[in-house]
Amino acid sequence: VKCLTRIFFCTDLHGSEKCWRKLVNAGEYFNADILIAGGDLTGKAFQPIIRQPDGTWECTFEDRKLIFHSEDELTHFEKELAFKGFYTYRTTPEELSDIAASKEKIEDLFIQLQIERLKKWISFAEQKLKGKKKIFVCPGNDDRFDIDSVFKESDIVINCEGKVINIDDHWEMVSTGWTNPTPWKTYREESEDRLLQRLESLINKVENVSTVIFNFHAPPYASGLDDAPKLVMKNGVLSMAGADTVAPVGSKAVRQVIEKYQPLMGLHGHVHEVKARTLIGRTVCFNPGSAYTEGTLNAVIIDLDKKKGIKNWHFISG
Amino acid sequence: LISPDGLFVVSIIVWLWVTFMIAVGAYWYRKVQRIGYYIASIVMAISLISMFLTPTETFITSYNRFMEWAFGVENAYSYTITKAAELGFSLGKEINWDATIRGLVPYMMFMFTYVVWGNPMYGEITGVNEVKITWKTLWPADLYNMFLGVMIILATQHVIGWEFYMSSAYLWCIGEGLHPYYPYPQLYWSLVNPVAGLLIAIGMNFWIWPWIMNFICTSRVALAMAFDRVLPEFIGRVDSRFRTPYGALTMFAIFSLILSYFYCYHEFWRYFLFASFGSLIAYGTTCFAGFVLPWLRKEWYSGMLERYKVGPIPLVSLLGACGAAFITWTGYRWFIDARYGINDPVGATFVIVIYGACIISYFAFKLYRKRQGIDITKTFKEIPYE
Repeated sequence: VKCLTRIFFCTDLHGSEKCWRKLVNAGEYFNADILIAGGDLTGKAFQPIIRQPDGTWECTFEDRKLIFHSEDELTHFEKELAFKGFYTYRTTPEELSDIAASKEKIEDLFIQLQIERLKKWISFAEQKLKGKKKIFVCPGNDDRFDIDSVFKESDIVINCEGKVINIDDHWEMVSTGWTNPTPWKTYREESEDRLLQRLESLINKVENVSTVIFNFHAPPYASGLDDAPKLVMKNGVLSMAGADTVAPVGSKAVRQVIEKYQPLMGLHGHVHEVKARTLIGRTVCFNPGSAYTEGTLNAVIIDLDKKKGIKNWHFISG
Repeated sequence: LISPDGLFVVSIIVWLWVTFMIAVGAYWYRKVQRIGYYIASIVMAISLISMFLTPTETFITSYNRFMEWAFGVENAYSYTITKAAELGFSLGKEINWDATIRGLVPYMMFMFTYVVWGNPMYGEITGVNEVKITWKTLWPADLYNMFLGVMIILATQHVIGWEFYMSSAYLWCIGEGLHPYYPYPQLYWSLVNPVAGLLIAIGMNFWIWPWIMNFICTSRVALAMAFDRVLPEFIGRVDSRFRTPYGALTMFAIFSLILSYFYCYHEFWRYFLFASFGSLIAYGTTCFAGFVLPWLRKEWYSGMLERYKVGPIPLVSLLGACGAAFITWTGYRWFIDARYGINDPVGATFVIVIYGACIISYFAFKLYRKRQGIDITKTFKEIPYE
């Protein structure tokens, strides 16, 4: 009987194709049994590439005007951007001005691109992991609700938002990507009170709370897992208070339920700058952070022992 | 204070202050640094103005009076110049380029390799990888420091006199100084009058105490190693209230106390001088990494760096090659000149032993973690993505 379960947990992939591919391959590479991707799966920006009358393609990326003369050049650029989490969209000047004029059309295009990429991701995972392993995902506060349906047809990539799932025959995991309010007014955020209600109702479904894993995107407040650059409003624009000034931005509700129920461990994300592990009572909480823009997959590998609980852990950056 | 006991007492005071400030965390550290910096800057400005307004004669009178009272040396100002000249010192009127390049440049590198660690630390600040932020912060700070340096030299030249100052420095360097203190400018400035002395004492204290915490900031390395499972877990523990790595801090506090003892009572500087070479290796390796980056790590190079080229050669490679060549030459100059202490077998042995201990510790932990099922060689290894 196998006593050890190895979990590979990463978070905040934000559309990075390279990070997803690494996650899929991580199971074999690290000999992990369970692969978990925390919240914020989708990217934050798309890059239009405009067809020119002379047959070339053109775009302005990071203040740089780029011209692509061949399909190879363009495909290479699109791949590079996909690796960093951007979406690209080939268009014409007329179509671009039409889209730019309408917020709804921009939103529709964004959703279309996000769904396309997720479908591609699922297909890649099914190709590589069929009959071997599963990936548990949970959309985060930055993910639109439209993406949830994409996972329904897959038995390899499992959406565990709002569910209690047995990740194997011993360990339960309860998940949500909802967070406390952010300055950006994202899709899955709510007041601390409502978040607390959501968490309590989820935890009520758990069979054994002492051995459960809390997979909550928001890190517990003031835990060291939630130190983010402090933001202040300057001339109506959110800016960093100081290059080295940080403030806790985690959720008080998440902290409250961890303190109250003392689960086996907490898996968190949301704050990219952090790579940290901390103890809240007997609960070990992890946030591996994220470096998706560099195509680097930050993760934590945790070995669970049926008798001892957490036997080992190891942050990686690969 | 210059006796071993005196040095050790000062070391303990510094040790207590540094350990306390690091233990209470970055929030208070930053506040103390900022307040100290502003007060010291104001005092520095007042001191500079008062020095420019004081004639050299006032300093000569004060200095002579002090030296006669403290060390029984009469007419010390002119005696310093005469004695230095007798012992071979002359203030050259022309620049000796050969001596400057072969002597001064490696010496400046020797003095700066520690100080320049500030720049890699600056790289840890959020957003610093953006050129605009670097232009707004690091460069103005460097320019301000250069301006201050020039003003200090000009004020010293004006109030103390360059020939006297260099003569005094020369005598101290060859062990013939008329006083047992290193003749830095502010020491002489403080002799101009009691008010200036008090002001400078206050200013220098506000300058040094908030900055001195750097000495234990190396605990960050131990913290990172513990996180990467190369050191025991307790070293990586962080206090939840102050956000301080108390395990790593305790380890380094104990080490630094032991080192202070050896430094004060057992000529520890002999062992330590070779450590500068360790810094040089770090810079040289970084330059070499920059040189090979476009070929060995194409995906890292393919971002913003790719824009900058000199003809077909990537700019980063060109700069890396120049830097590596300069570092190699500097290392060579250090090795052939006994005054740096780099070629002292005692120091070299000590540092090699330290490096050896680190390598052994790494492999021991690698084996230990492997038995636990952790492969630490994969900590930063890129996961396949095809």
